Amino acid sequence: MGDFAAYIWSAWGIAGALLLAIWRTSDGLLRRQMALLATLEAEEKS
Amino acid sequence: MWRFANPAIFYDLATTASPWAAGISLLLLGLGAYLGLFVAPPDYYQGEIMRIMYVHVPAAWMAMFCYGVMAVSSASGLIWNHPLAYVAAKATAPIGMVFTAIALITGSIWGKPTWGTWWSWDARMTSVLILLFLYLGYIALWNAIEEPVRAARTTAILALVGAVNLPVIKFSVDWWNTLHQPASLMRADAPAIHSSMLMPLLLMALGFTVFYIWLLLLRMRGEILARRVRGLRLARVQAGQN
Repeated sequence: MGDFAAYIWSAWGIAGALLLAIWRTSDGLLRRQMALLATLEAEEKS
Repeated sequence: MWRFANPAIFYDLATTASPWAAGISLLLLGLGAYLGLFVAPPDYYQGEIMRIMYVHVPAAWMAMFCYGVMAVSSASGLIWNHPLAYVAAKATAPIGMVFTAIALITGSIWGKPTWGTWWSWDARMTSVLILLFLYLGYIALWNAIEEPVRAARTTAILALVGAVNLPVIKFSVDWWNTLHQPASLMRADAPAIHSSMLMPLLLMALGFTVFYIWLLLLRMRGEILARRVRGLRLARVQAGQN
């Protein structure tokens, strides 16, 4: 990749980091709601 | 078709489909990245810096595609008043925003060694920046309005008005003199790109599309559960009042 390696890896690295970040927030959102719902349903039963 | 639009049925389907979408997208993105970074030949004019295009171009396509999905879902929500349509639009916005940010950042990094500047206020770049602001505005508006039905309808109108920007982005390179080059792939005649470069580009584009579907399913499941949680809490408050 020669002289452009820093540019190329920066671009791919930033893209990867952003994709990872949006996956983590999406997954976190789902897990948080699952935990909340489980708590609420457990309270309903008790 | 409408049977799958039932939130409970959709939730189960999405739960089954999520791991498949995850596996397929990671496979496609891994293969696309390997071909784009290590196998595809350097471009005759641009040289090695062309390798940024394998992430920049598919991200830019996805930025527009996601907004299109958001606008169509919003229109479906307004016409048929189906809650899943609004859920799909709301879930798409942050994903589309990330693809737009990737397109802008990677384009800027490519522009510095190629054009000698990180940024230029040309029609293509400016209209994509406006797209980013539209996504941000849409998300901010959802968060600003507490009442969910009103929030869904207001944001849907914003999404539809903002859709005017999509043809502007697409045809900006034809309508105005821009620093940004015209389309190489999506043009009336044959794509102006060799198959050794086309393959990683298409694999990345397909990988991004399936990645979007995966995250859309995750976020839609999260939103369906959030609505269930809201419903349970509301029922509890009402029971407490009686």
